[in-house]
Amino acid sequence: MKRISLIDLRYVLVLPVVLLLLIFTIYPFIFQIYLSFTGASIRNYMTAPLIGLQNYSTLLVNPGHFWSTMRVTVLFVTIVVSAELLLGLAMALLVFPLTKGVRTIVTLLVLPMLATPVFLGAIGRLVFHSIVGVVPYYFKAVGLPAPMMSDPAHALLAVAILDIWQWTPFMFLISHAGLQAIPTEVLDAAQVDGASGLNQLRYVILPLLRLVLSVAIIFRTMDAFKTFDIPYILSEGGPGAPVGATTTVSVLTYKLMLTYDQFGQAAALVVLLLVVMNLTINRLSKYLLGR
Amino acid sequence: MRFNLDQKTMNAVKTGLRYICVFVFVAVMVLPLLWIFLTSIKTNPQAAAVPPLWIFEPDWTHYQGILFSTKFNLRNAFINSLIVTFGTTGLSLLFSFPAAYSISRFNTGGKNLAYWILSFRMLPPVVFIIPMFVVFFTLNLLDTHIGLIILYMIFNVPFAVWILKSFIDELPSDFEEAAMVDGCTRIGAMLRVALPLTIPGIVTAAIMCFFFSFNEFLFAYVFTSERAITMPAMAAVFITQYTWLWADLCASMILMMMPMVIFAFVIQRRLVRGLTMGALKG
Repeated sequence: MKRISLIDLRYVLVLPVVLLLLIFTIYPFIFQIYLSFTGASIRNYMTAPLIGLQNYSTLLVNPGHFWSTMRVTVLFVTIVVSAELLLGLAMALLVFPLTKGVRTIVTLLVLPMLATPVFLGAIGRLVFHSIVGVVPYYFKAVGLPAPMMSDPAHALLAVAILDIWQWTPFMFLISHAGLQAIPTEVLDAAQVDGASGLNQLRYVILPLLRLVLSVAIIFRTMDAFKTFDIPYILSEGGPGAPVGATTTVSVLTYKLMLTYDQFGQAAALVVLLLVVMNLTINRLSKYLLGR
Repeated sequence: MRFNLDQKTMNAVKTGLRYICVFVFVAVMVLPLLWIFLTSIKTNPQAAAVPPLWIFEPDWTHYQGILFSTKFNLRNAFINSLIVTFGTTGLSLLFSFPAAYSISRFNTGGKNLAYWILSFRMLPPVVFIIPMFVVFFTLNLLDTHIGLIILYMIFNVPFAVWILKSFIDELPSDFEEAAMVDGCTRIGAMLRVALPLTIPGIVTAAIMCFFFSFNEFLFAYVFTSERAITMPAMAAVFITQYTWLWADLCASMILMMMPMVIFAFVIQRRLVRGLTMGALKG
């Protein structure tokens, strides 16, 4: 008797969460997949005619929006995740042997993570503005060519720089925590054995940080894949349309839905995005975590 | 002796160089925020001055305008942000704690349930906008606080369950068992024994929920327009309608950061753990 009530209780406790997630996700999924086979727009999504695989073929073959936006997204993810990892790790290694002021450094470095991304994007418009912007002004002042938001490469870099500025501290914090967790005896032993600084890093520190950094890379890759706020607000996915230099998958989905009124195509893009993300994360975690 | 001295100076020089590099790096990371703050106390024309101004008469009226007047609907948006954020945080914790407790203590659903719940956190938010737009339109939930709260919960609950689970995992179950031997029910043990001991975890989860809901833009932008519009959605209004109000924009951003800076200080040591959903021991 007591056993049965215990079994009941444990399911009762998880029930609200499971119900919430089921109600608000299963239906949207099914509806999304259904929509992706119709020619739905904002007015006729309930009665839209089925058009088979046409949305997918438009995205994949015809103008090939999917490939262009994937190129932008993958390029963006690669740039920001590798830059954040290298900078954050380098920073953590620099701070590691220091004794004074570490807490202050950590506190100050947390600040960029707390900034609201969409406000960063909006303020970025002022910062990178070709006439009144601070960045172009100082670039010109030191004799460098001023960055132009109308240049595709510059626009993507501007978006990437904001992301790198905001999330390098995350990689730093994680590397820092990972380094703190390494037992001092291990490092002392390496030093006594006469390992040079670089060899210590390569054969002792990095292998010990591998797990921590892998998790951090997976998290950042996932988040960077979904980026919407900054490219949408700072450069509106442009320059270029419909798939400009900063049109990440999320931005394109949004635009297909609310700018071009193509609910069906947007739904098909979401389905493709889920497939790609799933594969990427699976491959990445297999490769990094060996699972 | 001489060798020792050289070694010492060498080390001192090395440490000095390290501090210089670190200082430069920290300065680069903090400078943009400083610039945003300075811009927020300029007048709007000064904010767009060429060359950029570094010394000027501070003008605090933008903050007053946002907090104490109905100028540009910003105060309303700020209040909406707080309502939605606190609503989401409170409800998410209410749903998550029992679930986390059950998963941690009884291993309910094994690994599958836990990972199933976590997988929702990984979904791109953009996945939800089309179907939820339709649902909200039908249920009349567009531009309401509760609609936004429901959407945010889909992302916050999985997150909170994982953080809380990782904290409850570390709690020895002896205390609860002792309480139950003394005649407490399982629910009683959960609420009177486990809950108070999980408070650090609850604070961490609450602040992570707060960060997410307070900063979220896409849903706020799509699902609210006037009555329930939040601050992040106002940023889009700034770039379309109030394009010349740079100083007000910067002041809004600084105001947005204030509560989060305070909270970040409160949980400084657990921040890494919160950010990584307890997957790592921070």
